[in-house]
Amino acid sequence: MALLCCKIFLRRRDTAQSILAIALLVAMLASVSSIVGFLNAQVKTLAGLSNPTGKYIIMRGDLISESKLDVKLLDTLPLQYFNSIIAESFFWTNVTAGLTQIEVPVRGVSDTEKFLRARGARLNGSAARSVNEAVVGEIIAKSCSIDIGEEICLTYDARSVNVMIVGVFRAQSEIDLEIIVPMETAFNLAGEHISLIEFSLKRNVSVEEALTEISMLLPKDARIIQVQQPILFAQEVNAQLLSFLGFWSLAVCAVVASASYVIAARLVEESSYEILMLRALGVKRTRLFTLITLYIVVIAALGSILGVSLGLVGVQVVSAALSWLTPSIKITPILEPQQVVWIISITLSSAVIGCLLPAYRATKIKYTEKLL
Amino acid sequence: MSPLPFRYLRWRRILAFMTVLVLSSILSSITALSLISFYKGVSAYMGEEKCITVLYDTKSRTPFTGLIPAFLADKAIMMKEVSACSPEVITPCIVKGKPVFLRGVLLEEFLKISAISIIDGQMLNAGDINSVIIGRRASERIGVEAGDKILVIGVLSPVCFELRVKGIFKSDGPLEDEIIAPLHIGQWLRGTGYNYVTIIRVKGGCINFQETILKPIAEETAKPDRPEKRDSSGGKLSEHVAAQWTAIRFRAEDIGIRETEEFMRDYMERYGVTRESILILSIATIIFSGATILLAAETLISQHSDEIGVLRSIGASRKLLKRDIIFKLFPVFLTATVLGITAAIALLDIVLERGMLQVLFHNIQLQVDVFALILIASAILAVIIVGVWRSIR
Repeated sequence: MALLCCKIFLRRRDTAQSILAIALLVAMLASVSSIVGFLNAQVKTLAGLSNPTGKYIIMRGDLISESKLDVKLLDTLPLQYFNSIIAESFFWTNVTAGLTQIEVPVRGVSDTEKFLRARGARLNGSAARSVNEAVVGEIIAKSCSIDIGEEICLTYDARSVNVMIVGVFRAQSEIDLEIIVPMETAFNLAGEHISLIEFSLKRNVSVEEALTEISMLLPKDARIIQVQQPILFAQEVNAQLLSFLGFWSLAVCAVVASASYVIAARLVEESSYEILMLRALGVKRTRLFTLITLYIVVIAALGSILGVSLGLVGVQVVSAALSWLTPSIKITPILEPQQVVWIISITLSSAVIGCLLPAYRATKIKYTEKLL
Repeated sequence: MSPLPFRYLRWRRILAFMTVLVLSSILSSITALSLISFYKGVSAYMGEEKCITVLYDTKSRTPFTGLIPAFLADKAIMMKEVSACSPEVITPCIVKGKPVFLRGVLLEEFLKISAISIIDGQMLNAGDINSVIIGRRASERIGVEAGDKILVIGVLSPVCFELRVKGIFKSDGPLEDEIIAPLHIGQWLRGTGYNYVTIIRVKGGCINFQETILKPIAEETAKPDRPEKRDSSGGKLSEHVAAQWTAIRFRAEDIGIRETEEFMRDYMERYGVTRESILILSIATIIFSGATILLAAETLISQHSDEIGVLRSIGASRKLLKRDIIFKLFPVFLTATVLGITAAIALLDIVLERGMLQVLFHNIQLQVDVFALILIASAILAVIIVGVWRSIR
């Protein structure tokens, strides 16, 4: 019955124009969403180009230098998952070399030679093997004018240790700014604990499963961090794009609501006779309100379906023309099904909100007087 | 003076029409202003001074991903026209779970080109090999203060290390959203070793770098009889870097040379982003929302059909009525458009100030383009005239 009554309204001449007005607004939304979808995919692709190495660290708190883990933790971890695993101690010390005093990080490892080899470092001199030996990164060595054979003093809290520099290395990474000492030296200075466990997983293991099992074995406040995070970066860039899209969509929705208001107001204005007939046939005021709302819902639904199609076709045509004119520009619009559902939903919601006032006013008009 | 002396348009109906105009102009203004702000913001990213030239990798897809030999900075600084030469590595990283761009620089040279001032803590000096300074907005976003230590995690390379925050700085441009660090720190995060940088910014007169520097050096480094052992570049700048640069092979044609604004525009144009395309897009929003304005104009006329009928019966011609309605609607259009544009500027200002709209974690400064706004207003007026003209038959 409601649909039959609604059909009276739908047969009006300006219904097509109303659908087109909504469709054009939705087309804007769909085209911009599809371009944002393309940009998101581009960002993901760019992030995917730098393939994360699968290197992780286990630590406590926000800083490695403040992280304290039990030395025995390493023994409790499931070794079948690891390609490599190394426990390290990390803390900042005051280094006195001649007249220079500087605060630098010190890393304690069980085997300095193996550690430097794993980091791809070029070592000039020999690895630190005994408790009073250390190797130093190229940048520290240059900055403090430290040479092989020199003795430096490491101070942490009130404890001091003199170590002999037996090698200078260049790894072209963060360890070039560190002093690497055997674990015993680190324990003597900073106490018997480790700061982090660095590991990589075997190729054939399930990363998710392995990380879940490892994290279950960790102390409560310890966490696993991946040391290369292109995915997080890509996600945040995409979130920025989506936040712009969300803000812009609000403006489009406001125009959709105003369009719906205009359509409903015009319907009431130009369909006074039909509304009077319906009232004469016994349609109540609430039913009339529902009928006008239903009309707007139908218009908005048809408009959004047409708009999504128009938007996609439009962007496709423009991108094809652009790539024809400028071969370097290749835009492939992407609109996920859930985005289509989202666009249709917000259009319907905005349209319904927009038509509420004219629909309510329509129930209060005395049509007999109006027609006279 | 109105062609007809009657006030037959009802205020409540005009208000509805005006609302449509306000909302449509808000939508178009937001589209135009945000895109133009983005365009101008990105163009000015490397600085707006005319005498600054950027040496960059022409093969890179973004301004942040290119790599050029660092030792070229040593050669550029030797030219008497060059007053400053800043090799820089711009790379993303993660600090406290939030992405931020870090710029590795040789501070002394960098400060000759970019003006920054410390608002908390201290400025970096040559001996600060493991400290950084953070831009005001970046420090607020990440939540760090001068004196804090931060854990930096790589995006482009697998590195994870701690740095000390020595100071917080402010600047006029997008640098406030970045971390400034010694050059070697940027190079670790970029993961390409000490011999490469992302860009080299050169301050000086008009120099033909391609002919005077790049081609001769490229030919020199490409010689087959060149000894395999790579020597230090041995220049004025390499004395200040923590890790020595070496002269490496490169192709002169792979290095682009542009003024700063042109450099960023070049990248945007590769993706079809030009001022013209932005204006076309903004006008397209008016055309698309134009159907609603048209509908609103027709509805307004339809709502006044009785009044128009009376005026017709007393002798007012269609042409006169059309002119009269357009005349009466002109102040409405003007008020609505001004209101819409003002509302759009205010909204964008709030949104941008709160950092809700960013491009690669850099805030955009709102740029009010009067030409674009006049274009939008004219388009709206044209749609109203068409709407009124079509409705009175």
